[in-house]
Amino acid sequence: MTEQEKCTKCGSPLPSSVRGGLCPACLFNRGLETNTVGYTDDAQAEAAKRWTPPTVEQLAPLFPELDILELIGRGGMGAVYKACEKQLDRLVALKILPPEIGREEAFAQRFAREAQAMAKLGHTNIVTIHSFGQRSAGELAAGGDLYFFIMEYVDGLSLRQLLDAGTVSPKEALAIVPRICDALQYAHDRGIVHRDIKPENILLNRQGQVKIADFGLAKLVGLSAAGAASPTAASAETGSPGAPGVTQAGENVMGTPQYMAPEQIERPRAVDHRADIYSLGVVFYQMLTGELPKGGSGKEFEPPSRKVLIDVRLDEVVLRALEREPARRYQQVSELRTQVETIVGTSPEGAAGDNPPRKGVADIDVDLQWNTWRKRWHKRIPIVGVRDGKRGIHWPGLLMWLIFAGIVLGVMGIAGANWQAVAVIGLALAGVLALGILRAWAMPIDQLTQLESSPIRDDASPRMSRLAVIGALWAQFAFIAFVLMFMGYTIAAGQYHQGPDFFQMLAVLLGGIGLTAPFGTTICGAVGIAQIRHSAGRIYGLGLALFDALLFPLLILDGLISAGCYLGLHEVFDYRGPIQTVGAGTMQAVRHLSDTWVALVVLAIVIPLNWFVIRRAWRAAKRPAGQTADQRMPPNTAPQSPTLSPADG
Amino acid sequence: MEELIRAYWFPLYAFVRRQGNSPQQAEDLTQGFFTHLLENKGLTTVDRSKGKFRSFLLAALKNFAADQRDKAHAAKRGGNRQVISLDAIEAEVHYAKELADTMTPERLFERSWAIAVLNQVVLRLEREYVERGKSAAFQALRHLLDGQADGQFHAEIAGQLGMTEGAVRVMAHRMRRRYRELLRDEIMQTVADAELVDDEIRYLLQCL
Repeated sequence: MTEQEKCTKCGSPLPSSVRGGLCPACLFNRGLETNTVGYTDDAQAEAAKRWTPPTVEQLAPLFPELDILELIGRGGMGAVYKACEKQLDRLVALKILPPEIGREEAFAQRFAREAQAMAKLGHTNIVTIHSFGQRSAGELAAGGDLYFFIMEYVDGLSLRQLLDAGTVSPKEALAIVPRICDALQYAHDRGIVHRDIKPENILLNRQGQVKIADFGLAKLVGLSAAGAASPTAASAETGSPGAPGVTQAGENVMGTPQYMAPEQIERPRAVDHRADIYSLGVVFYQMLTGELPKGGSGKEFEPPSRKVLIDVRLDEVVLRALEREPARRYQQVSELRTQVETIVGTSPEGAAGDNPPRKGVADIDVDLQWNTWRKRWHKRIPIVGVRDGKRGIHWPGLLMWLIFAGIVLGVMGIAGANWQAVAVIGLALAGVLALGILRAWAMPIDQLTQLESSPIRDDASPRMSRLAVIGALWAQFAFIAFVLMFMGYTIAAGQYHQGPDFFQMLAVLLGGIGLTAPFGTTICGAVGIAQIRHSAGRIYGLGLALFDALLFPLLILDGLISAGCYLGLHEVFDYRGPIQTVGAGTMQAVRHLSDTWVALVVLAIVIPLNWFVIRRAWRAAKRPAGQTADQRMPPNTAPQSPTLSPADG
Repeated sequence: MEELIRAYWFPLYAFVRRQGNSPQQAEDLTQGFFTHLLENKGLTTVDRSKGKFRSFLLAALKNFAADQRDKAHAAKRGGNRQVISLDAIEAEVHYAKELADTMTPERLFERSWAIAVLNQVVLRLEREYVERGKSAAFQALRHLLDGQADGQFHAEIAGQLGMTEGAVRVMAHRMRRRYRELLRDEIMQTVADAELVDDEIRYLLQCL
């Protein structure tokens, strides 16, 4: 992919096919009807763009109650100064709006109303407005009034600055987002939509507190079409009846399009609080991955978990927030927050990156004659732990315990202990296990070992398919079991034992496991294949899983073919008839010969068959999951097109 | 009508190309399609009250291309029967430059269409200025159209053209306004009625 330049205004990539290096998005936006503004005519808009904020000295006389210290920022929505309220001796931020805004007649009224609503917002995560108003500014505002806000001063940085410096980790993102949600929900509950959530408006102070600025300012400055410009003035300037003056005050009105919800661009009148959720989604994505979700027609960006080491459940959250249809997003910010907090809380690694140290452990207190065993087992083996917030049995741990018990009993059996002793010890071990489980279950949940929380692991690095491995091991078991059974039979047949024969029991047990292997291995293999195919590369081991799935079926198939051939063809190759007169030795030789023929035939059938089956299966398994028939067709074939109709939308 | 075709043939070429045809085949198909349209007077019989010209064109092209494959014979070659001179090499260069590998033919078509609209409007604007003898001014101001270079260059341009900065500002502003009018007019030609212009603009915005 070649590097594309970006538009310096809206940030979208510049295709080379637009002559002159112009930005198509900006050009189109210029044509839209609904770019309304607070400016009544275009000359003013020009003026606003050129506006240089007043210097500190110029501003000071207007605000005698403040010590104006320095200009700290300027943007389309005005300029911000750091100041000190003399009487209260506290630092504040003074924000003044561009003078041209005030020209419009209806503005003053709107200002009073909106500013009041904004000032009523009192929340730790919202930049508080202390006061607002207008001062007659003489020259500074070309004879009109200068509108201002006095707000809480935030000593820190904006999220934009942090993002640019590259210092937001996914962990921090997950701490910041819930705070933003708090602020948004608070405002939404009071009927105020921010409309311009973006990193520039999200501030972080030195204590790490999140503060959101400019709530509702976008609307005040004139984003909504309704009642923005007085029609008569506009039409006189532009010549088009009824059309509000369209200007190039793009930065005031549009904000940064990358963060705006689709409906904000398409149907500004239909914007509600869910637009904020979309913008939050964009910011969230950017915090996690460092990039914007690639825009255009939406569905082309990669889920964040593919780019960064985070819990995959977060993908869902981000994706849902970024739904084009407002109805498909979260309907309340608090829902989003709850989701994020749940994921963070139930993820063993805090849902992002580094592992926190494991918490306490509940283990089996092997507090009997086997204290020495316990000391040797330095690493404790949990039997009961926490998974997904609930207590669960840790099966590998349990299995290990059972194996341990089995070994103990086996050793006793070998050493010749009588069956009563074995039974007693067995019961004792079972009792200990039960006690241990009961005790662990009763423990407060936060002291239990954290088990894996979900079948889909949280880290993004690829892992081997567990099912494939289990299937392969199971198959091994079958062969071991087969051998043992054989041994067991011969031993049992040839010897005399008192009481239950340990080896016989063992042989039966292993034989049982072995017999289940054909089913178990095949199933593990088949499910493993499905799992791998649907894991999109996160799980590997297709070869092993395929081996599992095919091993026993092919073995059985081959066995049947061999048997069938032997039975069926034996007669064909039976030379006994014509050469009956020959001696017994030759008979043996002849039988071997016919057997050999049969064997050759069997091989001739079986080998190609197996090869064919394996190849087909491999191809089928390798095909990417979810591919449709269309995509497999050669590109020159087009799907049937609908009948010609200009009514196509 | 011919003007329309001349402006928008690249999206059609891109579509056909993206369907898997070679450059030569694509050129033939596009050429043949236009011939077909003009000969059959398909364009004049379109009931324009029923939707967008853009979609109509795409559907017609799809049908035409499918027909051509069915008949399994190459579209009329260029050369003698060339109806409109298509700059095929330039088209292929453009096509190669488009970051189009992951796009379906339809999406590529829409995106190219959107860009073709813009190019066409800028072209019309240029023509107007040239007619009035102001081509130098246009060349100087054209890169201000999208608003990326705000106000920084006014002084420079003033020097270039021998005008005052104020005059340059006014000129730039008028040009932008006229651009907007032409954009809306161009879109108007391809949709059924005036109310749909905004919808079409927003749709094209998404297609980029």
